[in-house]
Amino acid sequence: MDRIFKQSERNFLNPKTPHCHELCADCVGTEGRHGWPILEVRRNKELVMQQEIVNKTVLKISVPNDCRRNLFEFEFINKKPDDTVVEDGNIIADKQIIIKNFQLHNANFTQIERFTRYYPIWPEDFEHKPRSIQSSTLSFNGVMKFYYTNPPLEYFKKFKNQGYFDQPHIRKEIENNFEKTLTILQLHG
Amino acid sequence: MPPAAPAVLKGQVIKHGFSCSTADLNLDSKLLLTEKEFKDFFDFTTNNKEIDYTISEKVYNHWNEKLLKNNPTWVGLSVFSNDNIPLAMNFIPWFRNKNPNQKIIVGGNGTSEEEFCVEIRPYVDHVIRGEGELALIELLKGNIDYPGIDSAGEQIDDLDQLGYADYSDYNLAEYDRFYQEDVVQITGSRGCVRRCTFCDIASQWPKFRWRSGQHIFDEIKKTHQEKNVRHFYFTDSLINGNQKSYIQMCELLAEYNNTLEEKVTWGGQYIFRKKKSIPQDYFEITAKSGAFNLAVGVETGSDRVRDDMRKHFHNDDLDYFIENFSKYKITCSYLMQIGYPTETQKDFEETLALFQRHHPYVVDGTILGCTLGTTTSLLRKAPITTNKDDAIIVRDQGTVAEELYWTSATVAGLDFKERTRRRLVAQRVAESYGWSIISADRELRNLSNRIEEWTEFLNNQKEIS
Repeated sequence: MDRIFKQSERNFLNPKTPHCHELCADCVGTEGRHGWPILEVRRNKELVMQQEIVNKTVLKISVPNDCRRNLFEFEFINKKPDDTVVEDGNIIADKQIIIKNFQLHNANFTQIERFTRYYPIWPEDFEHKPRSIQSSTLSFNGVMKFYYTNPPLEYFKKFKNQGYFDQPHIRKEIENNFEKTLTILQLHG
Repeated sequence: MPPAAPAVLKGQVIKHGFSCSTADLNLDSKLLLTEKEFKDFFDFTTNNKEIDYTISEKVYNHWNEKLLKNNPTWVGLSVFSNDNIPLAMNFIPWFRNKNPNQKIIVGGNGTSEEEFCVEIRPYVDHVIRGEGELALIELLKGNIDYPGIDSAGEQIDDLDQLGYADYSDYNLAEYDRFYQEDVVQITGSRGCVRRCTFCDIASQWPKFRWRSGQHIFDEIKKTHQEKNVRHFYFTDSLINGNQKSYIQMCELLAEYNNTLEEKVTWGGQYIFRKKKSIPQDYFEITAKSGAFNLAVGVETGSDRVRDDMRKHFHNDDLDYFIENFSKYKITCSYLMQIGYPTETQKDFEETLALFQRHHPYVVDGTILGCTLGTTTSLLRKAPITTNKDDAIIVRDQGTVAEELYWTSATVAGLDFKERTRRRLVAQRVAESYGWSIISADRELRNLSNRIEEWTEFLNNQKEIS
């Protein structure tokens, strides 16, 4: 639905009103001993998609305007301990998922680790086990969380306390422009 | 809302000493059928969808019984608009077949379609074309040579000579309560003072004719006192076409309302004018008279396109009116068109900007909503399509409804697909500011059907080429 908009028209949408939009996730899956990885996507705890990630896969998630809060959980669910194939001490195959970027309103989150947290279920023999990490690669079963409120632009304009956005000329530049906001966030955040 | 035509004709017939009873067949079918059946029946009558034979039989038999209940000498069927022609073409031959000796007349705006009159003629005794009040009386008197009876009608010059509408056969409580209370329709004028390029009203009523403010007020007062109805909706193309008559009506109603605890209200189609032509007390007297939900043909946010449409007002006039409406608490809704043939992307964005700019009036309750239509359909008898020397559209020949499917000859890329896109964008933007889109569900359902037709047309074109 959102694709019907031209960029200039999108500027007329009320930035303060939740609206239906699409969240796209560019994923790359790699095959392990027992096949391709499977990703489950939940929005506000509700399962919206379950998808095998075979090589490059684009997940398109329709986001309704029914509530402001959007907590997306991308859960890697089918990795087995022996999915990692090791020969002569080298890993020659492994089941994992890389989420390369998210797309919202045609703007790319190229550094998704800055906007997400990954909560892996660590193997028992791992020594260092932080509760969550910033990573776009899901190497173990576990959940990556991505949160924003709808409308996304309003949320990301306030994302962290940037201070940068408080400058009048920057504020003017980003008003109604999601792509610009995101670029600034990624460059200056 | 109860349809006006039967009540208006009944008032006229009774005034001339005949007896008459009326029925609203639309409402009857809605009450008779389940919600699902009614939806199917509606799609059958307006979107040419197939229908289960038993449903149409059920409705037709019910209507047959209703129409013959009082053993009438004449049965008159009013075909409200072009949209009702498919149903009329289906039902009237059925009714004729069932009742070969019954005298039948057909009238209504649908008879402005030449083809319909020709097709329906074998199944009816007479077709009354144009305004029917005088022709019907002459027919009942046996004068079948009167203009309008099986011939082109003549416009009635003096509307004050007609009887008041009579709603006594209606159970007003059975209608959807748009105003939460009973409401009836009333006619104050016919025709229009404007000649907007997209509108075909002048083909039906070439001259603008109006009732005096006193005559309209007398009908409202009578209906209010006799039927205890206090809400009125004008069928006029515009209520304020004749300023003198309009102000007289408003003054009388304001005075009357002053004596009432529960005020009379009225609504209908209304035009914005140049602000310099507006008298000083105009808005105050309009508010006191009970103006409510005036439907205003704003059409677009672009002055240039509005000039092309020959609307004769600009955005500064629009802003002046809406500001005063807000000040005097006069509610209204905007009638909008998306994708007029000369609408460029810039013009379209000016319409989007209008939704943004007038957002405060949505918030304060002055603007109750807007219509966006399905996509701009250009009627065959509208000036825009009759002026061949300056054609600004090309019809997509071979489509089911060529009114809808056309391509602009002046704005590159403005075809049905682009208009559909703009229509959807407009709704999204308007809704983001809290505008209520009137009949949005129905319009989007129609749009969905049209897109199917359009896709089929394109596929056929591909096959041919």
